[in-house]
Amino acid sequence: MTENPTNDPTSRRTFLRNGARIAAMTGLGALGGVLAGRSNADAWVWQIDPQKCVRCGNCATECVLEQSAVKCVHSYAICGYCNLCTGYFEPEPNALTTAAENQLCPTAAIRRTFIEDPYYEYSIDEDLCIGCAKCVEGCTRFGNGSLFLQIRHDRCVRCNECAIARTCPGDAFRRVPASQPYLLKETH
Amino acid sequence: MNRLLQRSRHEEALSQSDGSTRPPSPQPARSGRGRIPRRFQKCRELETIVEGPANQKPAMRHSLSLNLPLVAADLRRRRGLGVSRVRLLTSAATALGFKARTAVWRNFSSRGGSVRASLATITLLFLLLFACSALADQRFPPPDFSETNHELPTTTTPPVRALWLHYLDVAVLLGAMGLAVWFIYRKRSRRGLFWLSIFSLAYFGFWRKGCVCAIGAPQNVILGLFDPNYTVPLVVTAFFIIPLVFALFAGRAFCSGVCPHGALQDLVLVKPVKVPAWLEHTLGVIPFLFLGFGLAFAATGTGFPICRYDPIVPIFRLNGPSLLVALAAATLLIGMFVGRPYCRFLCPYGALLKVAALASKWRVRVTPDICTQCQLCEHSCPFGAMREPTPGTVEPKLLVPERRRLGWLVLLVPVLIAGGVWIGGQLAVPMAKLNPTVELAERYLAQKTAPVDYGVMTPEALSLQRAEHDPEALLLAAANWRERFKLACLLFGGWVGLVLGIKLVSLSLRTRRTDFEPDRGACFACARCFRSCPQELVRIGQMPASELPGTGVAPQTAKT
Amino acid sequence: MKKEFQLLDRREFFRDAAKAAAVAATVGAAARASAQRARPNPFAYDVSHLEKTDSKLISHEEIQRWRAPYSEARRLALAPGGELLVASGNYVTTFSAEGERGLEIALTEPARALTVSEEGLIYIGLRDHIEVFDAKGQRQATWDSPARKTWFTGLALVKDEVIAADAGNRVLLRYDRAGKLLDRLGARDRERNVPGFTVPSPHLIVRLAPDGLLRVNNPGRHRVEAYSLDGDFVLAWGQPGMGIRTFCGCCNPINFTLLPDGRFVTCEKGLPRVKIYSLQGEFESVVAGTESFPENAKACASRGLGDCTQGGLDAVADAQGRIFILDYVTGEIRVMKQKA
Repeated sequence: MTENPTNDPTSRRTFLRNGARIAAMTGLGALGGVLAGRSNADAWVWQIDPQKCVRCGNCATECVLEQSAVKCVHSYAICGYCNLCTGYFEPEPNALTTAAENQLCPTAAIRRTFIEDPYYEYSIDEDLCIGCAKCVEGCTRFGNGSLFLQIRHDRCVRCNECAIARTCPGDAFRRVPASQPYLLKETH
Repeated sequence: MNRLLQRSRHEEALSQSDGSTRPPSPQPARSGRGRIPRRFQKCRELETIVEGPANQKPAMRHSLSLNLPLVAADLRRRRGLGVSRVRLLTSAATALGFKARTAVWRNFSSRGGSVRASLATITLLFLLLFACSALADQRFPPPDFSETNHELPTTTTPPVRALWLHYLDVAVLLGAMGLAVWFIYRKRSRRGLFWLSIFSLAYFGFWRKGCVCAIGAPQNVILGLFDPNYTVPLVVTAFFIIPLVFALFAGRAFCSGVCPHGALQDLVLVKPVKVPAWLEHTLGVIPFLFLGFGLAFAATGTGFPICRYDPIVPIFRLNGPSLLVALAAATLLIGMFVGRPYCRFLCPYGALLKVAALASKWRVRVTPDICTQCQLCEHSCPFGAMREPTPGTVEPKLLVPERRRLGWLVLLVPVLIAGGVWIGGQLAVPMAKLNPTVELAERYLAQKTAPVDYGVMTPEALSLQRAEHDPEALLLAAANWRERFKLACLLFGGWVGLVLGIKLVSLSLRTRRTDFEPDRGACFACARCFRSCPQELVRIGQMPASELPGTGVAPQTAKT
Repeated sequence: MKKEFQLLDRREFFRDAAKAAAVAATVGAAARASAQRARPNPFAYDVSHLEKTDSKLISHEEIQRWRAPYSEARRLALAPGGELLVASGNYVTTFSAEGERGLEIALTEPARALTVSEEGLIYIGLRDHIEVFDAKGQRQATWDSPARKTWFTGLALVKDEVIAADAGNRVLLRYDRAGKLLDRLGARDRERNVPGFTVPSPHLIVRLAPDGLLRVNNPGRHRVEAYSLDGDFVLAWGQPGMGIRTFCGCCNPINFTLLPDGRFVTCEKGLPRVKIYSLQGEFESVVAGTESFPENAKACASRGLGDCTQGGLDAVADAQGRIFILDYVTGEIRVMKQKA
């Protein structure tokens, strides 16, 4: 084997490789610099804008989780505490009782509690709620809109691309800073 | 859509919008409205779109008329747009809600201006939406429960994962990367890497459920570069850059024991089958194409296809849409017989690491000292990354046709790129349909000619209602999305041409190898081959040097 | 005859290829059709069958329509001379019955209640206080706010008194014409058998009926109630239900007015509709059904700017029995006349 350093292909390759590495490091550094300038220490999370939600039912079916991370939440301060709650009862209920056939919710996830005549309080059992927005439509259609959908961050797995956002007909999903992860309706 | 969008001069469109009937409403004087800036006399690229509804919400109109001068001034200041440009945008937007044909300024004078202007338009739309929602009445107070003094419960808001936990993820990534490099290059320990990959699988896979992950991070990075409204979280930037930097020095250490996707596939591998070289090379192109597609798609801001079609994450979540779960099961099933099918034939981040690893400072070497060409290592690699030595010298005459072919192939690369760009340009309009806004705009226009009944409260029907609420804004946004997709498709087409061209060139390149060694790019640094090498066994004292096969060359170093 | 094994001949190949293509095309077309056909929404809250009114029930027809001058139109009132007052935005504007614009009064906030006295004094209820203007639009008085949560939504003039409906405190306030608070009526009182007003949203209206009793809507109980000026609960009528004869949703009627003969014109939200009830509270006819207010119905359902606090209707009736309807969402004022 003759040793000829000037003609050795490995040294040429090494040279090219070193050059490429330095170039790549410079590029990555520049990219990192640009990104760091634009980066945010805070993370993004997905959330539903209740003003844009159209109550289509996709939240119950499109989430990557078997039981959607979207739940109905209740802003009690907006609620009218109605006896005939259109979010709780079928549009034409037989009677204003908690009997299953009168309830609007497909999973009976809304609890109705008597407070004082004539007021009833409604609260959501999140383990049962599937985020179908049926009650949200009922409440918003006739009532004050105190029921609305939100992504619950104890359940959401924070997909890089939210599967529900992709199919949302109201374009209601958006990224919000993790420091303000909810878009609750304003109360009085 | 194109058939319905008729081109017209914007003068005509503007005068039509001015001539419409308008209710008496207090509108601040807009100087220059209707007067056409001279530089726009040239701008023929206006599109007239369908008739707007006669009765728009007065509330919205009111807010528009009040806010537009502010919006325009803001845009002018922030985006550095020319006054006339803003005025045109403004007049297009003020025409909202009038029974008029509204001009939408779609095509832009220059490519650079196009992105800027579309961003300006999006900002404008955002501000308009904001202005509308700010109109909500002050809330009426709830009843006070005078008899029971019942206290109103507060709406619970379960907290988001704490920020320090995200930084812990980065720390774990750094630690795991360091350990992997140590196991590969110093300890040369497959066992260490195995346990590291089990840990990564548990932590990044089943605990973190596959999100945050380096594979999807390039999309966030590209979106952060293209969309100033999106800032990349620092954690994602770290997950994008750290494995690449490691790859530039130590090869694909990330793949070896840190990536949970790879770890899971490594675990299920029972009986590796050798993939034929032609198939390996053909399928090996897919990651690069997928990377290009994912980046182009993410750059438009429409979505993250690399995350959407990830076939492993449903397993980490033990949950998912049925199609993806089936895909995951299929990947694992194939993975029992083909080593790491996702990593080799789909993973777009792997494609990036592959390129970076080609320039890596250190490389995985099977033998600790010399190669006896016993070929044992070749069978130990389940991923087909082992390359055999090339025959010594070649007759120069034989090289002539090869060199000629190489020359032709190099010349072919620009042709392929040009072809790709052309095809990409042709595909822009159908591809733009993947964007929900464009899809809705097309469905809205189709609905005008051939109405479809989508049923009560179906997503399709509801999105159409949204379209009818403000068709001009929708069509304006859709036109902008199309512009973005056009750029993305041209770039992606060119990328496909480039990838195919480079692949062809690389297949014709002659490399010189004296030993059995793993291909820098293809090697996952899994450390399986180390123990297959008799020299290694001697080094670690598991085999006496006298039992070495071959010509009885003794190890030169005696580290044992 | 047994055919020997051989490779496919060309004709056979083409025939098979054509068959395969046909099958593929059929499957593809079927898949495409099924993908295009929208799946029904299993979670639909469907009241669409209630949005159409039986045409036999409709008693009125529209004769004129114009638009309120500002956004957020909320209230109508009739002056004794037949002029129509429209509260929209932060203004109250007068119109002739034919829709010609007259005087305009600028306010600091939206007017939520509106009435005009025989002398032409204009009483305007702002959210927490009442202001009085003369016929030329000059402010004559500003009354103090009576309570912390006051939210005026209705005003009625009775002899030399002013009755104001305070939805925030669920009570009627009796003032003299100088703005001195005399009494509170209608608060829940078991001993006097006063049920109390259930007001989930700011819609509490008071009118003086020809029989000398006050009429107040009680939206949470879906009825119109009658009170004496001393605050005694006299009677109530109205039933909840989605059907045309009843008051829909959780809290209706939100507004009502009286025809010259004392019959009631009621307004509902959710399913926006205007109906006429007899003196005894029996359903008589429909002035305008939900299908007449598509934008208003949409504002509450699925695609609104917010929620149903934006939707609703107001109505007044003049001495000739014409009914003026104000649509909160579109800001349109419709003039309805009894069909011949």
